[in-house]
Amino acid sequence: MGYTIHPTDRAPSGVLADGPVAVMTSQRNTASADFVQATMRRLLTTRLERAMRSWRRSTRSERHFHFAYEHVLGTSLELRVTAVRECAAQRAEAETLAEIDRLALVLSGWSSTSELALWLATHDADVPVSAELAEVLHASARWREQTRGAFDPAAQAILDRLRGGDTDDAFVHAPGAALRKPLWLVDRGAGTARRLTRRAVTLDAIAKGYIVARAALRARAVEGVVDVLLNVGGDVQHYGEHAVVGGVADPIAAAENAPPIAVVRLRNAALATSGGYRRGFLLDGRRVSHIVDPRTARPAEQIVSASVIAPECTTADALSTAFSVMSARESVAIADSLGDVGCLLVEADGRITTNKSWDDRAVTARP
Amino acid sequence: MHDRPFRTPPHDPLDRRGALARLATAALSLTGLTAFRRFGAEATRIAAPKWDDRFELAVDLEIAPQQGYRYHRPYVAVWVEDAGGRPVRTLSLWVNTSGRGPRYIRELRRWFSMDRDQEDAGGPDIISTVSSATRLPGQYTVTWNGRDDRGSVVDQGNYRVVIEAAREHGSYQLMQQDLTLTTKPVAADLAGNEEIGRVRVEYRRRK
Repeated sequence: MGYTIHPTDRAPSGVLADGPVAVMTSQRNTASADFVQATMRRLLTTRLERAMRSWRRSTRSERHFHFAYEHVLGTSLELRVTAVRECAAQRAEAETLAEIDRLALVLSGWSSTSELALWLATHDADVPVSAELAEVLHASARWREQTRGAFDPAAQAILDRLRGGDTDDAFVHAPGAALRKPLWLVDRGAGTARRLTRRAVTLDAIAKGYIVARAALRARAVEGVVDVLLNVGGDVQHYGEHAVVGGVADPIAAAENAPPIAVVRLRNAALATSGGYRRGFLLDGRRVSHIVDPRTARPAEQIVSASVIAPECTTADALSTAFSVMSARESVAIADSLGDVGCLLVEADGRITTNKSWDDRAVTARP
Repeated sequence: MHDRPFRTPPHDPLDRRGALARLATAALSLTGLTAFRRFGAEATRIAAPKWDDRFELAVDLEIAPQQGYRYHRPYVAVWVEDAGGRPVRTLSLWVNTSGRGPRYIRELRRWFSMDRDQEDAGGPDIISTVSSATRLPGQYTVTWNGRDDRGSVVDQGNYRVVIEAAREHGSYQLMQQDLTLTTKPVAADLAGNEEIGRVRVEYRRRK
């Protein structure tokens, strides 16, 4: 008889032990004994793990904290933190706001002194950029390609013209142009980015998701924090141990106390929604969405709300914008091809389409 | 159970009458004369038509911006009282104003009941957050579908919408609007203050 150290798949962290779990085993040679040995080992490890987890939870006394701000990134912010002590939650709050401030200086679309604004003043030159700006530029280019132009930072030019009352088709792309003419070239190894297009561009449709993801991650990294659920203006990111339940607002009845149109479970995942029902504008006397289809230069009309679940909020934000202008079938096809992306699309006639990845996370209401 | 720590409702003179009526009904029913129940409770109330389900009452409010920079959201409670001053339905937004402990009662999403420990046992869940198209900062709407806190339909008639706002290191504000809710749309705009910039109360057809 001896004992062997067996590392568990998920080493329990926290109070008791951070490393492998020691399990007693015997060293007899018969096959059945081996089987019994293996089963005992499996039972002991999982049972021990479970016991340790619930013991930890009961002695750890996790508390829930909630912080809410207005006028953050031009919208409202809600942060829910589960932490073992209050100062950890307060530190998580501070880290979240600090990261948002830091990244706003880099990615802000409305500031004329953000790193993005200064970079956009350059053209056809390899300009050194921060890792964060390079990452967002690279992600934008990737989603522009993968959605075949449905997500396009250069859609801003079209929106500006429509808001100004101009409805001509001067900016309509031919399909495939997205692949032929990149907006910029990013060299992440060298840390430079070269702007190629002269058209007005905005990263708003992806930058907010990126900032939410980074801020939530930084809050989660605070010692003593168990869960972080960050919602900035409707873009949600969760990191942590306990799954949370999130809802999707009904585009037609978007009151605070109205029932959500869908409910999903999230754990280490993000949920973003895109739709024109809050920030639309008047065009030729009609109220239209502020989300423009870059391929037709027209405001999105068919889809009134598009929601995406993805591991990171950057992806969820970009894809929800793209799915607002694509047909439900195209959106489901792209979401399915990416594997871990769920989508829910609400059409103008009220029809709802989801893919399997979304349905797997859906929660049914219990009265 | 109503979440309004800053005020208590005024004493209602009808309560005594109602109590006596209920006692009378109880006494009568004990003798088996249940036909007289009608005279007990309902004689004190004039029959009014029920809430018109084609309509809803929407309260649009805007949290006043503070010096153009981010600020803690104030605690805002919205509720509806009837003509006698009794609270009928609470539609409140509860947010904590500082990191000082978990103050979170959220009446808004009563669709699921919550207990984190129950979650492990496979119990029902609460919605912790809602994803939507980007919110306009400080803009919130709550709607009333004419049901009271217990879920029963209310009568048409006179009601008062009350909005209470308080912010830590800020001010305390109380706003009220009386409305007659029948079968005609009505609307009222309330003057703003330091915490709530703008309120519009609208009785309108449901979409």
